[in-house]
Amino acid sequence: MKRLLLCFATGTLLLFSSCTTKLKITDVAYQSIRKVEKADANSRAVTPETGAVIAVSPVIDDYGNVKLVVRNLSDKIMVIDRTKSFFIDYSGQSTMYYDPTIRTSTLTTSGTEGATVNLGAIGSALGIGGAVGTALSGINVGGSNTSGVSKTTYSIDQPVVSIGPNSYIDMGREFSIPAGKEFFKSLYEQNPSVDISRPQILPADSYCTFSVSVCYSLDNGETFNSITSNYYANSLLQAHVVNNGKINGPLRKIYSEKSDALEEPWYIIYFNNNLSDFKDSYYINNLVDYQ
Amino acid sequence: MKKYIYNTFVLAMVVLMASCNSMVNLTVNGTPGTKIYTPEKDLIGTIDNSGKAKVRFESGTAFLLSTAPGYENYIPFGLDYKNHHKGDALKVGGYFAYTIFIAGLAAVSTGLIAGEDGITAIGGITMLAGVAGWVGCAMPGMKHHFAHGYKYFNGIRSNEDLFVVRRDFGTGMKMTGKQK
Repeated sequence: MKRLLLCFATGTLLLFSSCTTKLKITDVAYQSIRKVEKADANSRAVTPETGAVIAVSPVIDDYGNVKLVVRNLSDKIMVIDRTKSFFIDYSGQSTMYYDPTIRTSTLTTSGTEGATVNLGAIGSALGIGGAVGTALSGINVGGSNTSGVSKTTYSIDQPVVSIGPNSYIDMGREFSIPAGKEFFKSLYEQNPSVDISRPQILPADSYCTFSVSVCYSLDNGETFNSITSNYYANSLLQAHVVNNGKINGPLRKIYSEKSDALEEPWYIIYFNNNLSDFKDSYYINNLVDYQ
Repeated sequence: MKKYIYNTFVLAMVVLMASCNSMVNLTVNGTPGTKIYTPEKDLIGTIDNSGKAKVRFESGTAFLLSTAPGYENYIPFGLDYKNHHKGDALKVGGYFAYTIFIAGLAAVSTGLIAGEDGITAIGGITMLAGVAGWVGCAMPGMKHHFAHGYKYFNGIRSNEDLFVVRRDFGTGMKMTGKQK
């Protein structure tokens, strides 16, 4: 009986030991983004201390998604024309921050199985009348004719928004740039054995450039000014882990090649690994431009 | 009976307390006076005259920062690790706790059927101990420590020597770091 128990315990141990996930960090990567300095010395000198009225900050997360935050540094109400404010990507394609698409989301609750959405409600909300509206009112989408309660929410973008004195807004739309975790993962998959060492990249040679342009007014829309800020990735380094678990070597290599790595306004350090709860990235975001 | 209750209670508390702790203690080697920070730049230790600092940080951290004595430039250093097999022990512990729970349940059932209050009480306490062990093994702290089977190397160097590299190259100036 004792032998049987011992065999059972050993078998259980062996079974479980084969299931444990081991930590494997394959490479350490680093990337930084800077503002392209303006040629005009007067523009470079503008800060909140020297009378700047607007600050624009691209907020880039660790997946390379860029949002734009605009801060009104003045004591007046600031009006932003989103139809004349843009994100310009690497290829030069310009996209305005005003999104004319009307979005709908419908929540339906019903006493019986099956959901029903009456398109007539959407038609009337969109101002569609006449024959088309009548036709729509007769159309039900869903699997049941049983009456239910539908709540449809429409979200329509605003072409012009105001910012209160000394406050900020998020410009709403999000854009993607070649930066962050997914970018690093794709680099590793393309080249799983060769290190990348580009510690100083000039704007003209950069693999990632983008611009933001914001049109604003401080006199209730009488006159408009615009601020345009250009950004570029000024470094890209990736060092592979040669001996499993020895991650200080690759990190030393990166820091030796870029000794100002932790002083860049935006940077990310990434440890490409196989576990979900290991902290794989660390990033700092201090990109800002003033006018 | 009292001794049994006491031992069971102590065991359950130890398991629960250990499971709530997701911090790691580590010794870092380097030049005396070097300060050690978390990636969020919170000071967690200073290397003493023996060239060692005991630091404590959250498990799952890949690197820490150091500043050379007298300077405020942060230098990163990676936390080397080694895989081990303690994660298996955690899984076995979880199933062991489950077995204790079932044994307690059986004792409670037997006590209730036989009308023996003593057996019912012991069974109830055993069930509680099983639940505590089970919960403990499933807590994030325990998982951080053991479930993924890695352990940080003790005695990693803080890379403050890389500050010298920066000092001697670049502009050719002797010091480029920000002196305090």
